[in-house]
Amino acid sequence: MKNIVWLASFPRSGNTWLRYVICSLLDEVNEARIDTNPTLHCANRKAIEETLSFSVSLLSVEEVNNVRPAIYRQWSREWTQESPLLIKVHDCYATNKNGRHIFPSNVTQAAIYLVRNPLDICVSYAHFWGLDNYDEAADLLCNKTHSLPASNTDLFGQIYQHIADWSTNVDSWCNQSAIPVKVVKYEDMKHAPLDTFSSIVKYLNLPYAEDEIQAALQHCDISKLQQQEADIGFRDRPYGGDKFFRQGKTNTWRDKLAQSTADKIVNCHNVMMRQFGYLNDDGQPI
Amino acid sequence: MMMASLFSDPYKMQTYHYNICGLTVEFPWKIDAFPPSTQAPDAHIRFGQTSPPSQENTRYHGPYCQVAPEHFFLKIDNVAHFMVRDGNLITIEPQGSIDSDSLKTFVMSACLGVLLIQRKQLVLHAAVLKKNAKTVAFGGGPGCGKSTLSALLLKAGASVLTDNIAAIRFDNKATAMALPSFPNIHLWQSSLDKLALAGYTPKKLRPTLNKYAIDVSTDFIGSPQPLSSLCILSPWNKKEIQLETITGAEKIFQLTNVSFRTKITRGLGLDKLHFKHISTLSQTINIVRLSYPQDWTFNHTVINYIDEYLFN
Repeated sequence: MKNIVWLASFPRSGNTWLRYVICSLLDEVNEARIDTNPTLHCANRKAIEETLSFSVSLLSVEEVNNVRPAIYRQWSREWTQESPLLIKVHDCYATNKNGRHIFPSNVTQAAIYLVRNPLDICVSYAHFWGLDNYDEAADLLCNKTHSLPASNTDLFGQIYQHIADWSTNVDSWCNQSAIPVKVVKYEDMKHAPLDTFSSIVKYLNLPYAEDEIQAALQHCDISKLQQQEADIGFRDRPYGGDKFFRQGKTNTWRDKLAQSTADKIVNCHNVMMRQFGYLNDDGQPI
Repeated sequence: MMMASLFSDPYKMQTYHYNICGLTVEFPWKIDAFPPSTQAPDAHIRFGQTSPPSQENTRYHGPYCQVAPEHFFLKIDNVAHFMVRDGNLITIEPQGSIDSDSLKTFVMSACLGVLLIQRKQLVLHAAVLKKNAKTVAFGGGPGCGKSTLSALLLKAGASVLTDNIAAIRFDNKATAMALPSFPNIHLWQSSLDKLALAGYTPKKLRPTLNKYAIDVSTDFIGSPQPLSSLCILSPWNKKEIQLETITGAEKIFQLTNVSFRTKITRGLGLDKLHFKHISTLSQTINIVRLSYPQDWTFNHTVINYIDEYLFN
């Protein structure tokens, strides 16, 4: 059954916000709670190991990627609700060594892929990892071997995910034809939230009206998520940074990034940044 | 050692008896550092043909395993097929030219826990350590740092009952006994490098994996110990350490979370017994949640915290 919707993005592109809003609608809750996972994560080790019946820490990355399609097909089979099974993804859309898509098309309803200006991701990513400077974050955005967790030996609750550089990640999802994908820009989620989230809800054939979507957006306002994080912390995702929910603003890079750091990102991602309107015809950031 | 030759001539194999989780288990391999037993075996590990349970008996059908009452079948591509039957037999059917270290690793992690569940024991995914006459289990999600914490506590003077599979026996309604498994801690190369453990011998779990079994025989407790607390390890992104007591229904939730393979338990038809066990355990021991930053610079503080509040 094609019941999985992959909520995919490069990290720090609004994925968690999207998951909270959609789950707020589906669960009809009045408050998003950050101490519960709003949706499954495709890299959730506990869920994967329960399905496999053995520990993934005994497998190589290649062996793990080979079992992943069967795990997601099992999750699809076990999902009994009418609403789609929403699964968060930061991996590239890729095939494993057996030549099979890691995210199998025969159980996929669709993917929502979130794109965010990599210049803003750079600022957010530096804080997320607790890095000393933005240039280190820019290097991660340009690193084709970039992964999450940083190595296969530091799994802390998630399996190894190949994120790759920003352009490769975006291109892998947006320019593939195996599964239907709706591309959503983070900047549209921020500046026209009701219209943008309504279009996602419509795309997923979810039965919610505008007033319900507006209420869900209010329940998941970033100030509420920030307050919860200050009160109870963000558990089981112990990245280097001290805050998961930071500012969520757009264009912060203009005040933060050195010209050389911005140039590094623009040079590395010129083609994809142009495709998504983050550069003008002269190749300058908009 | 490749397994094909052993499998083709199983009856000529010498066997070895070890004391594991309160059982005498017969192995087809000699395993250095495992505590030997002179008793007649309660359970056997053998090479042979495996098969899944019949379709009509299967209660859980996963992508790589099938489970029915008294019958667990696990298929790991390019490693082996494993079958655990009746709480007393683990059968291994190697695939290709798989090495014996890989087989041992999967038997001792994936199959042993199932065998114990079939024997109607409560099995937790937890490390158990003892210090100052207090025995504490440390549980949490996979990758929460159980083994690294075990190694750190070991360096700080604690002794180990188990690193990963904690079998619990109820001697009476007031006492839960933690059973020693085997004297190994499993650590990644990167953790080993940071821990700088002196005097311990690391051995690769699988030839292709940079994960090691550390022989901790000298600091191993080979007899059951009364369990005083379960500590749920819950790393967070705050720069502080917090210990909170878990009460009420939350205890059941946490015990379910740290239980070994609940889908398999259901497939074996033992979920009601499991609930009875965790209900009893919830009334027997203290359960706390330790929230801490997963940051090596905090390790010393975390260990001091555990010493002060759990091992005292």
